[in-house]
Amino acid sequence: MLSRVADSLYWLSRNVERAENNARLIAVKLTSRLENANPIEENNQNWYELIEIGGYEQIFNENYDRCDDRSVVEFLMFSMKNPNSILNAITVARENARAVREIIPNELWESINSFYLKLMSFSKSVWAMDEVNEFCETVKKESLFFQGIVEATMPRGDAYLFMDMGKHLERAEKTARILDVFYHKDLDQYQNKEIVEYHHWWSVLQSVSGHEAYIKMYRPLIKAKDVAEFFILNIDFPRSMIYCIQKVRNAFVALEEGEVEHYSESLAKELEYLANDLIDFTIEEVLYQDAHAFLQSFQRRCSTVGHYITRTYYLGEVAIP
Amino acid sequence: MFNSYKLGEFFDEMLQKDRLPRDYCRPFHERLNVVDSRDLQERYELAQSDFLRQGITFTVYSENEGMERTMPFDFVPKIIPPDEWAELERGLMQRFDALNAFLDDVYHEQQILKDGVIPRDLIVNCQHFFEQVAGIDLPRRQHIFMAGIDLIRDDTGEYRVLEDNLRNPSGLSYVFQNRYVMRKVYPEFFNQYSVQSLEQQFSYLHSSMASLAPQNKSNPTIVLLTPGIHNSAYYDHSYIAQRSGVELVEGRDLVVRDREVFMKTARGLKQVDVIYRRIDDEFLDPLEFREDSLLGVPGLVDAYRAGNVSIINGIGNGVADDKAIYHFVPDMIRYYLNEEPLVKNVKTYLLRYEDQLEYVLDHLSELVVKHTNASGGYNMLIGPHASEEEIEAYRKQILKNPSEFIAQPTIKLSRLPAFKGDRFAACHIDLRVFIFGGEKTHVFPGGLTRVALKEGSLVVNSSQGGGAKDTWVLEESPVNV
Repeated sequence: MLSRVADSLYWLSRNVERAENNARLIAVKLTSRLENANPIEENNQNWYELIEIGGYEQIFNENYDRCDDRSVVEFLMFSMKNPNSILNAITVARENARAVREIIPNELWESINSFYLKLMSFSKSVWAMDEVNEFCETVKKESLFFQGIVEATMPRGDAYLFMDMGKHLERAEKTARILDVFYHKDLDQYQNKEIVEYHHWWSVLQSVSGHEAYIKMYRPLIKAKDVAEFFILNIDFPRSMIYCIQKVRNAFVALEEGEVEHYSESLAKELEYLANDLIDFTIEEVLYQDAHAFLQSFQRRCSTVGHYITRTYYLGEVAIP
Repeated sequence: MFNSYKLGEFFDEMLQKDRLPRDYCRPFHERLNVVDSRDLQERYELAQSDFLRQGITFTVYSENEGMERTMPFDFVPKIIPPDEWAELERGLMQRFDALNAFLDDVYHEQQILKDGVIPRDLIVNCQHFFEQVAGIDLPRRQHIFMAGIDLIRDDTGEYRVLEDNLRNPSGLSYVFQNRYVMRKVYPEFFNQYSVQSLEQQFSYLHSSMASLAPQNKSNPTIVLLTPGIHNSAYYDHSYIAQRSGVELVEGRDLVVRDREVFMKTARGLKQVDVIYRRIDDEFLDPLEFREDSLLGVPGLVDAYRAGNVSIINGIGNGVADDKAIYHFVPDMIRYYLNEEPLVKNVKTYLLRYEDQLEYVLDHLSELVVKHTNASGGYNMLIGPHASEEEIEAYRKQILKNPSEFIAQPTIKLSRLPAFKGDRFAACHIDLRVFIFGGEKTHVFPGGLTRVALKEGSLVVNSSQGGGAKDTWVLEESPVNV
């Protein structure tokens, strides 16, 4: 497979995943606003969380003088100044898909193309805040449809594996990021801390569609530590960090047919380190020092893995010696 | 729906002078008379949205913003009866073989110039003649892998060649998409007709490519070289690559090492044997042609020269499809094949000749004048439709350098009904037929019928209001019930 093609497939699936994650976060924020026990305390500062999760503080502050629901939604969904807005992510995904149209199933191309056309027409319309929730649903559904086509129609060869690697690396990083931001939110300021805390973690679980699975496992008792365990170490939950990292590893092993060659050594090692941080540890051990430090280092490791993937398979502008 | 339909002085491909349908069109015509126009309008929109969803679009730029548009599709197909096609096919193969022989000659012994059949200066001054590739022996001496020959029908219905495209003819994918949409949106229109299928064509195409590999290499690695996703024909490139099972590459995916060409894969370099390139000669190799080209591959032409890679279509083919050389194609057929041309040219005046120049300048208002280096319907004068001032301005252009111009009588392009919402209108059409060479010459059944949807317009180019139609080559005459 051409390395340019591998690159496009990898970023195609990363970008679709990224768009879906954005939509999930916005949707949860919208619902929690409606359901919150203390609507008055849900101020605009809470919308700013979404900017923090993405790490977009600087670009956002440069382009908007106000931080309210509309400006944040606009920024996360449609702003072309935000390199990771849903519209930008899907525009890039579509360009990537177009560049590999002859490799991917035609249905997959059509789905991403329709996705883009819908997004474009919504972004150009005069949208109202109460349409946003439904639109987030559309984005989620389009992404799930996209993944469904990948799962149901693509042969498990290199093309599939590069996409799978991209998707799960993106997901692992996003899960860590969401947890990181919410874990550190200071809830002591609230008078009815218990209720607020419940809603707080409930939203976090919803944002990864994990609320139902969580309840089956921990019953409806929501504690920060349990949520962290669920997010980080639950080997069965498809958005947990450990699950996603195992998937990236499996894809790598399949690509290399189980061998570790000279050129793939650094990637193999890095993936091993990353997994070793998680496997065979309890949540107490993982969070022993500091949750924030752990989650930060996990995100850095993910981006190192991304870097090694690029180097190993000559993605992007990497030259072949 | 046909009440206001005008026949005029043109050849109508569906209706005879007495307004009765031609035999092979009768079942289709009868169907058109009974369909509901609202149903047709809905189906028309369905067809267009299908093109949009599949991203079969071209980009139109206005105010710095690129807009993606679909090519309008008209569902009344061009129908070609079997005997008419058989004759056309013979004529096109003949023309293709003569053009290929000419290219091999002109880049080797140049016998045809020595024998004075074609003036030497016309060749050496042609901007598409590349000395860089003189003397290179191509596999099977095949310079043309794929030709797109544009045909029209004059007022008597006789087919004539309007243009030979031997460099990068595009549009093959549209032939398939038109058929696909037609089958999907208008399935019942095929009743009573047995239309030649397009399905096996890609296996022929693939064997053609493979048969042109260097040193007759078996199971060669074949790639299609595209300028990339922003090229207006990108859809064509990607579709052909996918359907014929070859890798789609860009210039940056290829690298030359020791006069051999490799592609960069996720597992290192892999040698490439055949390059079906859809990049123009000038951009292929910055070391040999335009230095500023970022699309090409440095060293590619040298690898070609060394015989380590095939580049199809061959480099320098433009010398044979030049608008002035066109005039001499019938002579080539006689010279190389010793046969009379089966499909005629359109009468062409070469303004490099004093007497023809004089005639043309006296009859500008009746003629179509073209610049030999322009294409796509640009920079041409359509005498009968031009104003006094336009004619005078063009006259000045001609006089600056007459040898760069040719002229032809206003071509009476044939017409076919096109759907206009509540009625049918007669619109002009032409036909691009695709022919490919290799182990043997093969004509693709049918081709791309382009239609000038603006009534009265003769310009069929998609950038200027043209659309497309399906093209049916019949296996046998239709069943009339």
